[in-house]
Amino acid sequence: MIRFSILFLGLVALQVSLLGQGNLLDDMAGHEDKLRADTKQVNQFFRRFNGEEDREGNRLYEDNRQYRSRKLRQGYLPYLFDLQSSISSNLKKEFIDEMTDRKSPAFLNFHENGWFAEVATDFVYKGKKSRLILFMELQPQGQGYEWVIADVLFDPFKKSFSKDTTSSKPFIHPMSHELDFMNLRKAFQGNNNPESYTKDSFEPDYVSLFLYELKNTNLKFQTVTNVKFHFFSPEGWYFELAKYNRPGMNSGWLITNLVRVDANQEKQLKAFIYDK
Amino acid sequence: MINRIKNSLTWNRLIPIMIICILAVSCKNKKKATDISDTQQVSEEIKEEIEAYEEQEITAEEINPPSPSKAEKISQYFSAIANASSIPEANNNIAEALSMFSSADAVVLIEIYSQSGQVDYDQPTTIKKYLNYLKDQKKNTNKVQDIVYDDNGNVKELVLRKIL
Amino acid sequence: MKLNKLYTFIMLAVIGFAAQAQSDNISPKRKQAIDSLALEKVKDLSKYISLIGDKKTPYSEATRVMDRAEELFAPDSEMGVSSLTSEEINYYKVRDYFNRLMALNYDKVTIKWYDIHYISDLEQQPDGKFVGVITIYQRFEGKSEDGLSYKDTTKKDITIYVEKKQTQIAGRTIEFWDVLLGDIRVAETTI
Repeated sequence: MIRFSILFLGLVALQVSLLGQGNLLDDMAGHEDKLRADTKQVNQFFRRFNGEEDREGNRLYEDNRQYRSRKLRQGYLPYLFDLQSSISSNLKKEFIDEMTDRKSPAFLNFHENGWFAEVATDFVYKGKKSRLILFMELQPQGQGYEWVIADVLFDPFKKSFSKDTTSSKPFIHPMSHELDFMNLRKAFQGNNNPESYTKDSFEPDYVSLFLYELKNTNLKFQTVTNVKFHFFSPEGWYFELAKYNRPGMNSGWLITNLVRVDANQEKQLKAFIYDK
Repeated sequence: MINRIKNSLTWNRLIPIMIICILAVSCKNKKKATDISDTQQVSEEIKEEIEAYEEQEITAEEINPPSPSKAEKISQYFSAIANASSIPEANNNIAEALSMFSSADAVVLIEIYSQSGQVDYDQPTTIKKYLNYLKDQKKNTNKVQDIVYDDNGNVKELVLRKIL
Repeated sequence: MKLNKLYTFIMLAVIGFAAQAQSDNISPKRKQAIDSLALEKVKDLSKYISLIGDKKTPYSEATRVMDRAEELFAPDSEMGVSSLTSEEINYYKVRDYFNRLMALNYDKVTIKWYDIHYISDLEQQPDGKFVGVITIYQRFEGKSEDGLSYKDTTKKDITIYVEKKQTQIAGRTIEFWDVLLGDIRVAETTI
């Protein structure tokens, strides 16, 4: 009788445990399509853009018939856009047509210049939490590659420099050398704009400033808050790549901004991004 | 004279040969005579012998089943450890399995790739670590590929291959 | 003079071989085998995490399992964890993360893995090591006796370091792929 009870209880426990497992699995069952569709890594964005990955997510190599096929890319490219963005359908179509042009299709190259990262971070600067942006690029190094800090955007730095370029700007007169530059004392005394005494071509180097403040422990890293990428490649186009963590099939790393640019516009857009 | 001698020599050689031939034929004939007369008996005797032999074989197998090879034994331990229903049971199997090895630090190599003579391995580990790995992971995805023994017949090196 | 030339030739050959060994061209099939190995280590980690978080695992076993789990990682690896409610990432050393897991107050912890994963290409670092990222999705459910329940789905981006190494075994040289896990970015995700 006791043995029977134990066996019965055991079976009940097993049933309960299986049921528990089943509920968890059912809960997950419908999500796999969404996760498969999600562009999970920037690496996957590159592969899908270039047609180097099949529909199941398997890597394709040069010996595969589907590798970089026009049909595969035309299938993928429309879904690499953030469908909730304001990019017009016509512009998307033009872009896709150019990327998959029969005679001269365009591809993205991970190792080539033409794209960079904008990394939004929180630092503590002189005791106060502050937002700082690092612009980072891939560069060859040693046997491989590395990400490096190419530029910095930080409000306190920007506000520190305000070069007066008007006709009434302060100056050190042209015969100062005859007096052993003794007037430097007056020039620096009580002057909040010593940058007035720099060359015309002077532009503050925020990276050096950033490193200097970091070394002096005036700047302390806290965390990364956001990452996005700017692509000025393929030539003649600009797009922004951002991450969307949301329900549905249109998620992951997606194109969120798309513009045609010529050389001049590219320069202006970069200045805008870097806030120069 | 010479001819007489010659004839004498030939005759001397021939006689023993003839005797041997006669004897051989006689034996053969005797055997043939025996076969012809006792075929049924002989076949029955043979049948009885075969049956007796088979009985012996079965009996032997029941009492002394053929011992598994070392590789099979090791594989059995792997399976037992990975499928153990409790930690003490797994630990017991681990202790038993370890007795087959020269030491707990006996090397285990796991082959992950092999093509055109090029073999890639996972990081080498020890048998004790590997057996505990089976216990923790509850999976047995590698099969025994090769065994190296020490002078005492214990396993000092084990090469496994991933079951794909 | 001849000896010097010979010496130089040998040194160049050795350096050349070492460089070749480091920047081994990884063919697609070989990459596939390395990917499988790396994915297996990620799955091993998942199992170790389940054992560490399971209240039924005796303390001594949990500690041993934490040691084994830590061995999967390169030194100084960290977990960077964020939730849907806060963009801030909290950083933990791997061992600290395991200790926190063990200290969770749930009586029953269930961890399931979606059958979806993604393995990036392997890129070469300046030091010659290869680095990649594996993405997996995990469903976590914690239940306590007093009815407290917590569920979440997280995306885990796991760094993997791959390096060809050599070791001496019984007087012979064995080459093997050293695959170690690195920093892990854990982000709560919406499905």
